[in-house]
Amino acid sequence: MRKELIVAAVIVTMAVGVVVGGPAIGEKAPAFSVTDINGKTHALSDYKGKLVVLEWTNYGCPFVKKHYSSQNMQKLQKKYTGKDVVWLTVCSSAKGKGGWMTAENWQKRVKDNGTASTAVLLDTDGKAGKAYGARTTPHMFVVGSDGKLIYKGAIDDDRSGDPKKAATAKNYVAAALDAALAGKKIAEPSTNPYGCSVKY
Amino acid sequence: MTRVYKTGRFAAGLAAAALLAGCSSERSTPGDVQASAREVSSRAALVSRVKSVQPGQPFLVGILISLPEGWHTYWSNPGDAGMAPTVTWRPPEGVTIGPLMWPYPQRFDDPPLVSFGYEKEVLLMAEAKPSADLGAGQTVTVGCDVSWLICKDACVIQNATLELALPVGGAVPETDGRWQDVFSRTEKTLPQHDARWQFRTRSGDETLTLLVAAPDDTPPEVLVKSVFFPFEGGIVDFGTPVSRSSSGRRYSLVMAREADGEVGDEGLTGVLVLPKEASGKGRARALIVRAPLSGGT
Repeated sequence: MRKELIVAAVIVTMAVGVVVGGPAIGEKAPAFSVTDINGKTHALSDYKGKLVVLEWTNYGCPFVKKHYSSQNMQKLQKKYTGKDVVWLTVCSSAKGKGGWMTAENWQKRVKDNGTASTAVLLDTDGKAGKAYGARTTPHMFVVGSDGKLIYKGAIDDDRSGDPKKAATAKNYVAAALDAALAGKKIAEPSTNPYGCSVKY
Repeated sequence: MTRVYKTGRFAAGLAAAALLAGCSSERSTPGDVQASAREVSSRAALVSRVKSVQPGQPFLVGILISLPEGWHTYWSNPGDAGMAPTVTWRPPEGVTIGPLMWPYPQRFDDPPLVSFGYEKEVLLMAEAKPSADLGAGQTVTVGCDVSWLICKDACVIQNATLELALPVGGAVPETDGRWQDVFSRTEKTLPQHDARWQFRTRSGDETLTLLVAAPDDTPPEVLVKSVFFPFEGGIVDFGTPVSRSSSGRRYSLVMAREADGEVGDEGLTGVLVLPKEASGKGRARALIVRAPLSGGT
């Protein structure tokens, strides 16, 4: 006769070493201090009182290319830095991984494609990326003038890689910035990001 | 079966029922670490289980995606990153095509990120329903545009325009021996409803717990080795360690809730993939999970 097997509670915890969490909307945005492609260091605290956009990037990723080849990203960068918004483009690719480039190559590529952000930060050790829970390229965050996170997620609602869609998609970042600049509530403060994985 | 992967644009015919279309990949512009992305190409073919169409009788078609070694494509929920394949059908008059049937995925850990998808090969099946009014001697030509992302260290978007032409005949169609195996194998990887399994979701401040009540004949070790894949992104944090506990046939899987991850009354939905030893007579390998939110904690 088969005995009824009685099993005591078994707890198994999977060993996954590193965690990507990131702050919730309304929480204090994590501090960081990262060097840009020209060797200048930028800390979040340098921009107290301003709206700060963090744009995770990897120029080799087709979803990033979608927004750069269509000029969508450069237009947003120009428009909002023109409204006193600080726009930091961040690459968290580890050295040797996809999207990683030397500072010299970054300088050249940024000039070639007309990147118009305030600065391009090289977060090679991934500390800033992991503090924010950056998962994709692009992955967008907006920090309010009070230092709290007010938007995180996708750049827009078209999850394809088609550059032609960038102009017509609903742009969540523009909507968040327009609302914040007008002192209004952000309708969609958290969306699911899309793109290539960040190459930590 | 040997598969040949060609670099760059190509177009090749596979004869009769299946037409292998040219894939064009979006090129990476040269960067420091992009070379690998420019060397690969995955391919897709639109295939049918049967050689002909019988008016009024539904049949299975599928997009067979073959991937180069070490590369993967994605499930309907790609996980932390990636893109689910998209298919735009162009069915002829008199034929409708149902939703894609997604085989259960596997998990790709690239700490701290996790994605869900397939490696080597995947068949995304759909049911084609021909009208009863189709006349014998006609040819049914189904077309589709497919876009899928393949990733390894880098990611490349693949696009293909595919076409499949089948003759209409009065008789019961013969199966196409070339694709019979892959259709049969794939059917076994489709998640199934099984009313003997019961699921609930318990919501905590920082956690979401999937509560599973398994049928009596389920070996307990099956439960602790099963893997849950949510249908929706942005709810549970896939990369965060998960704790599991089981007691008898009851099992709970505690997952970290994503910051701002909300779940409605419908609770967690997804697929629970059981380990190999769970498969066997009449047992599903992957279960569809609909776990309504339970009150209280």
